[in-house]
Amino acid sequence: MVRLECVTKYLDGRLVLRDIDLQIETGERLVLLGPSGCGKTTLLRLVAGLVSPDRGRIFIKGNLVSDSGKVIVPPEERLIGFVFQDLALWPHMSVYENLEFVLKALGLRRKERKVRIGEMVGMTDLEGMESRMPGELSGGQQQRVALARALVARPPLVLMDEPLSSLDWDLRGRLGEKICELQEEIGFTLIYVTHDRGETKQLATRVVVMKNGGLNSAMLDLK
Amino acid sequence: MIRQVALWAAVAVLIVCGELPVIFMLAGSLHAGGAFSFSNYLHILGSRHEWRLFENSIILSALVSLLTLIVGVPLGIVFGKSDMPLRKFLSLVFCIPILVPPYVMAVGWSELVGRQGLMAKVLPLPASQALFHFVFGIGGTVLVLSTVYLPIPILLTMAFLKTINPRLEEAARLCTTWPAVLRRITIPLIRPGVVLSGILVFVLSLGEFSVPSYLRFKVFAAESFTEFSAVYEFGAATAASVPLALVALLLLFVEALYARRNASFTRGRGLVPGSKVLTISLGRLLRIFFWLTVCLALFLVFLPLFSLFSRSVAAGAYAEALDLGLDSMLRSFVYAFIGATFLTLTGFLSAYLIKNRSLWCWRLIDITSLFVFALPGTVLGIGLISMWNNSWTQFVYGSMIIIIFGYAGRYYVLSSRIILSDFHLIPSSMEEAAQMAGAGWLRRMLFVLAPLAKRGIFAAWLCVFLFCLRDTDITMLVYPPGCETLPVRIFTLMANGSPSLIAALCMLMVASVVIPSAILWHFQWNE
Repeated sequence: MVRLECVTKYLDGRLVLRDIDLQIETGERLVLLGPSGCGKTTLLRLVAGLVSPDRGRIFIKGNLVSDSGKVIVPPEERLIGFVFQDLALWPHMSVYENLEFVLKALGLRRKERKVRIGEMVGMTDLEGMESRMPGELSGGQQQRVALARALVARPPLVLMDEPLSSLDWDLRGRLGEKICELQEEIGFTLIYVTHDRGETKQLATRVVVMKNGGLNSAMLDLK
Repeated sequence: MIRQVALWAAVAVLIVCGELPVIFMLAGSLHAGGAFSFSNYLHILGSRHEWRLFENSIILSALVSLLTLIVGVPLGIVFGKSDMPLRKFLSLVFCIPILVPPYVMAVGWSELVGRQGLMAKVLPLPASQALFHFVFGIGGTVLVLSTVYLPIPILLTMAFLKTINPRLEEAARLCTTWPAVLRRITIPLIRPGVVLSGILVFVLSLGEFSVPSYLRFKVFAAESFTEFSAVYEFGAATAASVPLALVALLLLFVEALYARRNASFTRGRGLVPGSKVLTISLGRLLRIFFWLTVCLALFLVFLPLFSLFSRSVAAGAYAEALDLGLDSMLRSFVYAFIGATFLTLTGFLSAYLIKNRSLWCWRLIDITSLFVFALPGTVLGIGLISMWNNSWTQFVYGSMIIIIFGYAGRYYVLSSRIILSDFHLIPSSMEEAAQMAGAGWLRRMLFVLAPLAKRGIFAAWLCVFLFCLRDTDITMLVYPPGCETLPVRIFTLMANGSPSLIAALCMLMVASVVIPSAILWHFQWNE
């Protein structure tokens, strides 16, 4: 599904990722585990196309999407779902509008949009909250909206950047379960970034440990 | 104790220099023939001429607001978010007109299209006459005032863009293109800034009298100025000021309501630490945007200034200008220096009390300072005169103190808001840590907060300095004999001075503000 070849990235003159080679298979739940500042988020942003690699190439479904210094396929054409660490829910749009924005961009008709949003709202237990604004929701509900927004377009690849880090232990466990459930139901490939070992055990089918901008040679296979 | 005294002193400055004059002005308008009377208001309400002027003012302000928003918001986005080259320089160029007295640009245009102007030399007679009639009327007034106030939406757009969490735009970029992201995410998020800039432009245009009078478009503010300065009809002038004050108050109320309605998505905004404003790569459109912006800058700013410059290079014009205007110029710098220093000190205290809600009246201070700024300068000027023109307050009325009071009332909000924005970036724990270490309030202010907010303090000083330097509205009304500033000197000479002398004086005025502005821009660009 995703292949990174010799990817190197500098941010503000600092080496963040060094010669990363990584292959992610379709349907996998890959967890990138590592301490803060080791380059996990940058790696996700490279895959999403939000930044370009300084060296190296990135392939998605066999297509070259980024090449040394260039984003060849822009983010909006990659069909990737992304859950940001701070969720990035659009505060001026209701829950329904947050989800609808993604489907409008895909060019779906109103009727189809309504059906898809209804399905996703049901899957993420958000019934009755469609007209609420993000500021009116609890932390867990906001998390589910972010999840629903990332999945509503049924993307084959979903990236999650420490999405549960701000939640309490109990809620984190329950939402972790929900993510696994949705992944099995929809069948997307998941790249999940965290520094929490508990989340890693719960979510991962494979773990890649990152340290100082590189991949640790010890890759744990949890399957 | 020191804290309370200092904070109340800052409040007293606003009350004495801004609020009480407005109250005095209102009271004065209710007197006629030495007794309480509504006759001044009845005269205004019953006069078709006054209603016509009021209509003109509203139409003019609405057109100027609309035009500045249509041009200013896209320019603000291009300067604040794109990879266009020379953004810093070009944005400074667009800011020049707001830094000089508004009539300078009007003089520039009149030099360009006037009977002896550049256009008369290159265009056929009917075309140059049509251009002349366009500039000397509502068309020219809208054009000049739009140029003068264009920096307001540009700067507010740029400032509000910096408060958007870049993740919100990135989340949208994953499913759509930049134009759609701007339309659906970025612009709705900066809408409070757009609304605020539209309202500010509207009320500032409403109170501006020098440009409409010069370009012969009759408006309400010019009428109240004429009533006061020429006929000295005090009651009529104050009554004529009241409708403008009411419109300003109404619009600020609307803005406050709007801001409160949108508070849910403006609260807690700000860049994620370590992240930057997302840049739009213009790609193939870069050249088009760049040349469009350059052409606009040439048309709106360089063209009138160039025509002024070409007029000013006549033999002996600068020597005469320096001879006639040097003392006024030096006086302008001294007054602006005193005003800026005084207002930076009060702005620091006012920002502190608003941020920490140290006094019960913190919100009132914040709102009324903005109200006084939005009031037409003539309103505040007339208020100051009615308050201080007494035999026992001649030491204020008859000296430069009245000008400093005028600056203090009008520009109080500028220093306060600029320093406040810096205070919001300083965690409360900084001051609390010093407090726990045993430092008293004064020591905390001098050695913790002031050094941490030094860039904001410097920016506030320079910004207020520039506004005091260019001030025409208040100074024109209140200056005592022998205290005239350069903007006032130029305005009074415009009636009978030679065009080359006026142009030379205007160029001196432009030069005196461009250098400090460039310093301010250089320091504040990355803030």
